[in-house]
Parts: sequence; C-alpha cells; structure tokens
Amino acid sequence: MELEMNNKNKGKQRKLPTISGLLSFLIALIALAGVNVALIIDIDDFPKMFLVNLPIAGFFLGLFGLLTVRRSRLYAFWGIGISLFILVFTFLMIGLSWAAINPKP
Amino acid sequence: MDKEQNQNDDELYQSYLKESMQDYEKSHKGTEKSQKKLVKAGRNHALQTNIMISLAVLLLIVPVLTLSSYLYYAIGGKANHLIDLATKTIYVTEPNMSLEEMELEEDIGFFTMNIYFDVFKRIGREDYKAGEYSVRFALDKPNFPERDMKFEKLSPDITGMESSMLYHPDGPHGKMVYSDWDILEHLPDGTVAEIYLSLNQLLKPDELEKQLGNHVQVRWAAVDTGLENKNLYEAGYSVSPIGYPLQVDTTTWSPFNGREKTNEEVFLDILKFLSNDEKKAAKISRAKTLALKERIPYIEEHGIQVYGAVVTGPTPELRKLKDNQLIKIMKVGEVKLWNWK
Repeated sequence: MELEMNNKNKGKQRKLPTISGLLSFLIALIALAGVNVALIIDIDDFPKMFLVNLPIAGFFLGLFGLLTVRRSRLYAFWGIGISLFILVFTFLMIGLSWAAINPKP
Repeated sequence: MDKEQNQNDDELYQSYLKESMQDYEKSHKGTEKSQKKLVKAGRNHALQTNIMISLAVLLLIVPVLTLSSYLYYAIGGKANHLIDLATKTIYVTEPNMSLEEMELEEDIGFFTMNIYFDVFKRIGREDYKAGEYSVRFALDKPNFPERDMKFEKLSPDITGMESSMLYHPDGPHGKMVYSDWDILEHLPDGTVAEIYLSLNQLLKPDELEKQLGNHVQVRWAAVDTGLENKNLYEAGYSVSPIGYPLQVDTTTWSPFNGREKTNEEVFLDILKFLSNDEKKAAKISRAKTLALKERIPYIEEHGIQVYGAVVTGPTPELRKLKDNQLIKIMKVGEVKLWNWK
C-alpha cells in the first residue's frame, strides 16, 4: 500500500517539470527545424522567430525545467543546449558575414 | 473451554487469513496492472526520447556544417584573400577590364564559396558591362570560372600569346596577323571604339601615352616580361599578356586608386601577391600559366616596358593613329555609340 502511494506521489511530482523540459526541447527542435529550412531554401529575410525568439523561450523553459525537476533533466539539457547553439550560431553568422567575410563599408 | 477458545481462535485465524489473501490478491492485481502501465509508459518515454534526440542530431547537421564553413572562410581572412586573388588576377590578365569590388557577392555553402562579380570595359568615356564572372572555390581551391560575356567579340576560354590581340614586336606570333584599319575606316564618325595596339618597339608607359596624344586614352598596357618574344619551346611556358591599367581609377575600390602608390607600384605588388598563390591565380585567369617566378625578376631588372596597349577614343581620332610609325598591328575590340564628352 505504501509503495503504491509513493509511486502515485512520485508520478505526480515528476509530471510538471517534465512538461517544462519537454516544452523546452520541443521548442528548440522547432526552432532548429526552422533554421534548417531557412538554410536549405536560402531565404533572404532574417527568420527572427526561429533564430532569436524561439531559442530564447526554449532556453528559459529549459532553465525552469532544470530548477524544478528532481530526476530526469535530460530534455531540459537538450532544450538548453540546442537553444544556446542556435543563439551562438545566429550571433556568429551575423558577426562573420558582417565583419570577416567580404566586408563592405 | 479450551476447546471452544481454540475453535474461536481458529475461526478468527481462518477469517484473518482469508481477508489477508483477499487483500493480497487485490493488491497484487493492482500492482500488476500498474506495472504494465509503468512499463508501457517507460517504453513510450524511451521511444519519445530516442525520436527527439535522433531528430535533434539530424537537424544539427546542416547548421553545424554551415557554421563550420563560415568559420573556415572567416578565420585568417581566407575568404577575403581568395576574393582579392580573383579580382586582382582579372586586373592584370584581362586587358581593359575592371570590376566593382563593392558589388561583389559571395555565397558560402558547405565548405565551398561562390563569388559573383561583373566585369566592365571602358569604351570611350563610359564603362560598359562586359560580362559576369562566377568563381567556385572548393575549400580554398578555385574551379575554372564561369564567364558569361555580354559583348559580341567572343574571347577564348584559354588564351596564349597566339590568341590574344596584343603581340610582342620580336615574338613569333603576330607575323601573319593583319590590322583592322579597314574596320575603323568603315565605322561612322559618331562612334567610340576600343582598339588593341601592338607596337614596333618597347616603350615606357608614359612615353607611349605621350606618343599617342591627348585625344585618345590608353587604358591598359601589356608589359614585356621576357617571355612574350619567345616561342613555346624557348619559353617553356604558354603565357598570355599581363599588364595593368594606366589610368588612375578613383571612382571604385580599385587597387589602382592612385592614393598611396602609382599604378606601376601597385602592378608589381599585385604580381608579388599573386605569385604566392600562382596556381590558383592561373586557374582564375584565362592564361595557362602565369610564370610569375620568372616574370617578376625580369620586370624588376628591366623596369616596366610595354609592347602593346588597349586604347579607347572617338573613331576619327583612332583612325589618325594609322600613320603612327610605332604601331605594328591594330585590332578592333568593341565599338559603342558616341559618348566622348
């Protein structure tokens, strides 16, 4: 009986943080898919939604997931990792194409 | 008494045991159900995790490769060096050709870079778009450029001294080449033209300008480098003319902007710059080889002496050059409507 109660409680405890981490990972994946599409079809417009907005949301959701979850932080880590990668990618690509490759005054 | 109590105890025990067994069965059933649920949930979770991580790894491939390519071309200024190499090669190997560095576009793929630029020819007083260049670099190795030339005169993809329109006075080529004076004669007066002059002798560039007068403009001079007067067997290389623009180009981001160095100095600097990556420069140019290791010391020793030039001006003024004793062969390049203001 006790074991059952514990399981139920743990199950309830686990759900909330998992949702936060899962959301972070999902948002990061959507942003990454957007970056892929933008790179492959070579869009001229800057896809701000995929390069900035979504990764920032994914990053903070991931942080939230890290703070509250006690056991599985896997999704949160992936969410944070991918979001950070997209942000660094955006920053470096803008910097490199502005200043280091064929700069124009 | 004892018997009765024993019987009561036994009944109590039996009922307790029964209840316990029922409880056990109940709880056991419940555990099995929840265990199944747990296993199912775990399996779904593992599947979901696998799918999401695999998706993430797959989706990371394109951005990681793109970023690595940008880093490859940016670190150490590799892209800028290759762009410089391509544009400077055009200036010294293509007669009367300039380009707008500001309009040059680059496109970086997976460890490849394409550069696109337009080339211009000055005919009369105006620059006309001569064509479009597209050079693809795989890592830092250029492929043969794709040229889309707009002018009527077709230029061969690979040139040598025999197929260029500028001939050295002592060279093996050009002996059987006839001048195009009759073409100039038949052109209307209201036109401007670009002509290729091959001289009878070597001259200093400023001396050539003086000899040709103020009514025409010398755009590009072909420089004697000691190989142009030899045949393929003697020279050991199949070379094509190299030279430089004689006019200062102030309007563009041209290396020949005359701000710090004279055009002659810039020309020598460019040759030295190209000699470090000679094979790449040769591939971008239409020449088979540039042979800069031999040509640079020759120019440094003998100074800049020219044997041919591209001249532009009004057709009537160009016709007058027919009497000039310096000119051995004249070939007509492009002709445009009057713009000599």
